[in-house]
Amino acid sequence: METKFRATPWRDGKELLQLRSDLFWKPGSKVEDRRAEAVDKILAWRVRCGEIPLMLESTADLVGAVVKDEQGEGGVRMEYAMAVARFATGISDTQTDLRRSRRSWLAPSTSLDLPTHLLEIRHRIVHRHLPTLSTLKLVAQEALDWLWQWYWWPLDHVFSSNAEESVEGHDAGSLGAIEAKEAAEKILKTYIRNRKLETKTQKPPLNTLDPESRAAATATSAYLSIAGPCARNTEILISVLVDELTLVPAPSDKKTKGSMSGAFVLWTPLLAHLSASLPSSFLERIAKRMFCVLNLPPREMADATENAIREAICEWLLHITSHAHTHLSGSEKFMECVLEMCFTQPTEWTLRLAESILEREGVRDHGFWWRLLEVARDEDMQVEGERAPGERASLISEINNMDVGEMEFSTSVSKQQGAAQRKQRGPWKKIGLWRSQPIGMVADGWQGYD
Amino acid sequence: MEGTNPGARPISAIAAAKLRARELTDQVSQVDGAQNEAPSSYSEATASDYEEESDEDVTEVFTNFQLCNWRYENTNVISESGDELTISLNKNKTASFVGCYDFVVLKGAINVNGANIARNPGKSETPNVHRAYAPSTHPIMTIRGLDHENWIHLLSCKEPVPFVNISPLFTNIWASNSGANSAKSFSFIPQTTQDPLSRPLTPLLTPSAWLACTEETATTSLKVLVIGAPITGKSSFARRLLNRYITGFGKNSKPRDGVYYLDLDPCNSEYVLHGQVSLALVREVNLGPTFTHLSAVPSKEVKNKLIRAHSFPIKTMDDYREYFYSCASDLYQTYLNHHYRNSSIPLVVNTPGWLFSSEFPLLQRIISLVKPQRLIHLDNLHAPYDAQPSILETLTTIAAHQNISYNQIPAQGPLALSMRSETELRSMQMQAYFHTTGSTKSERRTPTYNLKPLSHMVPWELCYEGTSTAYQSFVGFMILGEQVAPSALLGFLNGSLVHIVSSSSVDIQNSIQWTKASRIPYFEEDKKSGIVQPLDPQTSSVVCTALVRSFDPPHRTVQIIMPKTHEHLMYTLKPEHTVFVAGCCENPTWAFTEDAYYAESEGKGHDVLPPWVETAEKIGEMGYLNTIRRVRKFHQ
Repeated sequence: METKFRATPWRDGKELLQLRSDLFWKPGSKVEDRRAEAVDKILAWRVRCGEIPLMLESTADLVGAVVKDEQGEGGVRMEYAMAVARFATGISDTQTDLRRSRRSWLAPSTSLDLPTHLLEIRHRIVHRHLPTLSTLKLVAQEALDWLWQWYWWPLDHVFSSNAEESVEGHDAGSLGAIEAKEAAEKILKTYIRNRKLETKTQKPPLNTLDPESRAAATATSAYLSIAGPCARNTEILISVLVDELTLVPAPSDKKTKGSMSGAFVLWTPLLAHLSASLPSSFLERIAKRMFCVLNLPPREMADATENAIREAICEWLLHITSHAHTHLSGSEKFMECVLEMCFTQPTEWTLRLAESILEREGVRDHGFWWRLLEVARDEDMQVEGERAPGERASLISEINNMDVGEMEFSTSVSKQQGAAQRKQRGPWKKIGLWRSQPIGMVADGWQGYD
Repeated sequence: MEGTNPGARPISAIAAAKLRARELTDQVSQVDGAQNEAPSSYSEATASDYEEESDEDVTEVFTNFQLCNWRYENTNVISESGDELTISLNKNKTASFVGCYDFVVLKGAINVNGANIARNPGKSETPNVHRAYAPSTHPIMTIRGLDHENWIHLLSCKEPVPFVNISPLFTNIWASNSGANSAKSFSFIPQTTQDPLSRPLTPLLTPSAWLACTEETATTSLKVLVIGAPITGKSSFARRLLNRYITGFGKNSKPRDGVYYLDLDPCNSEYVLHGQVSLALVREVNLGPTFTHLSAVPSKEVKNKLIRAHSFPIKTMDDYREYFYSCASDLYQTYLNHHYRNSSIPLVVNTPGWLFSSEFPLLQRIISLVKPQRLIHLDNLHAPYDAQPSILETLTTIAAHQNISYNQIPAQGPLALSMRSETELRSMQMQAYFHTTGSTKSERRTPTYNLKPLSHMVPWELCYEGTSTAYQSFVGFMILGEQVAPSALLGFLNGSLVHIVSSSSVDIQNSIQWTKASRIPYFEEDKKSGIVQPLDPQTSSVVCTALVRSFDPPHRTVQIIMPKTHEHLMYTLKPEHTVFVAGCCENPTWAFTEDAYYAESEGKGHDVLPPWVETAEKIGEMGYLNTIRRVRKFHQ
C-alpha cells in the first residue's frame, strides 16, 4: 500500500500559519486578540483527530493558561502547572522520536533537549511543593519560547512555497487587509473623478467599448504599485467593487431601463485594464463574486432595492460576457464558466441571465445549454406542482445521458428560491448542475473563528 | 480498535510468547500443522492508537504460516477451467483460497467458518450457491471436509469494493492475479511465503474447544452472551456460532430462520458502522469481513435486517456508562418484543473487550439484564489480562445464581500483525458504505459501487436555522464525547461523520444553543455532569450515517452526503424529531484524500490539494514537527 497523501488537522499550511500569528499575539498589536479562539481551535482538532502533534497541543495548553490568567480567572496556578508538566513530560518522553527525525534546518550543534531547569520544575510540580505562580508564569513563557523556536518558527521552512502570501500580512512593509481596502477605495475614487472628466471631454457618441482610457491606465498602475498581483489584495479590490455595490448605480440614478450604460461607460475601461494586468482569473473572480451577491438570501437586502441590485448585477454579468470576446480579456471559456455558474446555482435570476446569454449569437454548444435551461425551467414548474420524486425519473435519466463531463445533474423535490415561491421544508437534494467540490468546502470568510 | 478504549492495552511480547506456549501445549489448531510457527513477536504497535503516525515504527514481522493442508494435485482437482475450479477434499482436510468466490458443494458436506454446508438433498432444487470473501486483510478462512469425500465447485466472482483508484487501503487485498490463474478471482496459496504479493497472510485458526462449544451451544441454547478481554476472538467466535445456528446440521440442530445479533461493541460493529450499538436480525451466513456485508442497507432484497441502533462514542466510554446500559437495555427490550413473535430464533450478544477489562461492574449488570442461557468467556489464562481469581469467582457465582451455563474457552487472538490496522478496517467499512449503490439483480447478487470520489456525489441540503426561504430541517448537532468550543464548532463539524437520529421525545429542544455568527444549533452540555446528555434510547434510534461535506452559513444550510441506498430515508425525517449526532465516529480521513488519489489515477497532478490533505512527502519533510505524545503504559 502506497500512502501518498495524509490527512492533517489543519486545512492547509495557510491555516496553520494564521493560527501561529493568532497564538503569538502581542499586546499593542494592530490585529485583534484571537488567542482564546485559536486555543479552542487546536482543542477541537484534538477531539476530531484523536491525536495531534505534541508541540501543537502543548502550545494550546500553555497559551490557554496565559489567556485565563489575563482574564483574571481563579485557579490559574494549577492551570499553569498542568500545562508546564504535560509539556515537559511529553517532550522528554518523545526525545528519541524527536532526535531521530530532526531536520536539516536545525543548526548542527543545537539539540532538542529541554533546558534542565524546565525538567526540574516539572519534577517539583509533580512530586514536591508546587512552585509559586510567578515561577510558573516565567517557566510557561520559557516553554512558549522553546516551542516557537522548535515548532512554530520552522514551519516557515515547510510551508515556505505557499507561505509568502499569508505571512505577508504580518511583515512590516507590506499591506494589511485594512490598508489594502483603504488603498483600493482611494484609487477607485480618484478613478471615478478622472474618468468622469475624461468622458466629458470625449467626443460623442461615447464609446463604451473603448479601452483607451488614461484614467483606467493610471488607476491600474497605481493599484499594482501598491497591492501587486497578490491574490488576497485582488480579492479585497473585488469585494470593494462588487460587495459594496460600487459598480451598481444608486437606485435613484437608474430611472430608465437603459441607464446601466452610464455605469458601463464609467467602469468598463478599468475592468479591461485590470483583467489585462492581473492574473487571468480576475474576470472569473468578479463573476463569482457577483453570483454571491445574486444568491444572497433576500432578507439581507432591503426589499425595495433588492431587485434593482440583482437586475443591475445581471446586466453587468451579461455585459462582461458579451464583451469577453472583444477586449475584456476573456474568452469562450469565460462565458462557459458563467453559464456553468448559472446552472450550478439556479435561481430565478441566474436562469434569466443564462437565457439572455443564450439568446445571443455564437455560443458554443448552444443546443446543450439551451436544453439545460429548459430542463431547469421545467423543474421549476414541476416543483410548483409538487410532483412526486419518482415521476422525475425519465427527466433525470435524460439529463444523465447528456455528456456533461465531470458534472452531475440532480433534480429533486426541492423548491426553487425565488420571490413568489413557497418556503422550503425538510431536506432537499442539491439542485442544478453539480460540479465536484472537495469535501470540507465552506463559504469564503468562514474558515476562521465563528 | 479495542485499543482506543481506556482499558485496552497493547499485548506485550511476553504475553504473545505465553499465548504461543499455550497454543502449542493445547494442540488446539484445527489446521493440522498450521501452528508449526507461532508468532515470534508482537510489535508494541499492534494495538497502537495512532496507526497513521506510527506506520514507520512498525517493523513488519513476516512469519510463515501454513494456511491449509489440501494439495493442489491432479488427484485432488476434479476439474478446472479459466475461472472455475472443482476440488475434492477428504474428511478433516482443509482448503483455503485468497480472494472472493462463489461455491457449491457437489458432494458431501463442508464447514466454512462455522457454517455447515451440505450438498442439496433434493434434486429439483437449484444448487445452493454461497459467496465467500477472503481478503488478505483478515485471517484466511478454510473449507474443511466433513464427509469422507467432498467435492466443492468454486466459481470466480466480481471483486467487491474496487476502490483502488481512490484509496490505497483497497490495494492488493484480493487474489494475486498473476501468472496462469489470472482469470480466477481466488488464488490458492498454501503458505504465507508463497504469496506472490508477499502479504502477511495468516490462517483463521479455530481451537478445538471452540468447535465443541459451538456444537453444544447451537444444540442446547437460544440465548448466548460472549465476553472476554480485548483481542481474544469474541467476534470471531460469535460469527462462527451465528453461522452454525443459521446453517444447522445433523439430527440435533435444525437450521434457524435467523439469529438476533445484539452487538454492544461500538468499535468493531459487525452489521452497522462503527460508533453504534445495534440489534440486527441476521439471516445470511457471514463469510466475509464487515466491508463486504453492509447489510444495514434497507431494501427488500437484503435478507439481513437492522432492527434498531443507537449512536455511541467510540473514544470516551467513561462518561457514558449509564447511557451504555440504557442502550443495551433498550435493545434487549426490542429483542424481547420481536422474540415474542418468533421464539425459535436465537439471540447472540457480543460485548466489547473493555467491558470485561475495565468496566467489570457494568458487565455484571449486562449479564443480569440479558440473563443468558449460556455465558461464553474467552479467556487468556496466562496473558496479562488474566481474569483475576476474584473475577472468575464472581462470574461463577453469577452463573450459579441465575442458572446460566458458564463456559470458559481459550482465547484466539491474531497470529501476526494484520495487514490493515483496526482504524483502517473501520475506514474501509465506512468507505464501502458511502460508495454502495445497491446490488445487481442477477441470481448471484453482487454489490455495485460508485467509483468516483464522494465529492462528485450530489449532496443533500438541510436548513439548520429557519430563513425567509426555508424552514429549519432538523433540531441541531449533538456532540457526544469531548466537547468543542462554539467558536470552533463549524470547523469541527465540517467534514465529520454524523449519525442521523430520530427521536420522538418532546423536550429535545430545551438545551439548544447557537454559535455566534454562523448560528449553528448545538446541544449544550449539562452543567452538573459536564457532558451533553445523550438522547433517551427508548425514544430514539439511528436512521443512517451521513458525511457533513460543507456549510453555507449565509443561507443557513449544511450539505451532507448519503449513500444512494439510504437516500429514501431522507424523506422520512421530521424536522422537530431529527438530531445529528457527531463525535461517535473517527475522523473520515479516507474521504479527504479520495480526490487526491483519484486525480493521480487519472494522470492529473495535484496543484491544489483538498482541505486537510498533505502529500506524504511534505509530512516527511516536517519530520519531528509531527511527533505525537508517546503513550506510556498504565501501571497500577
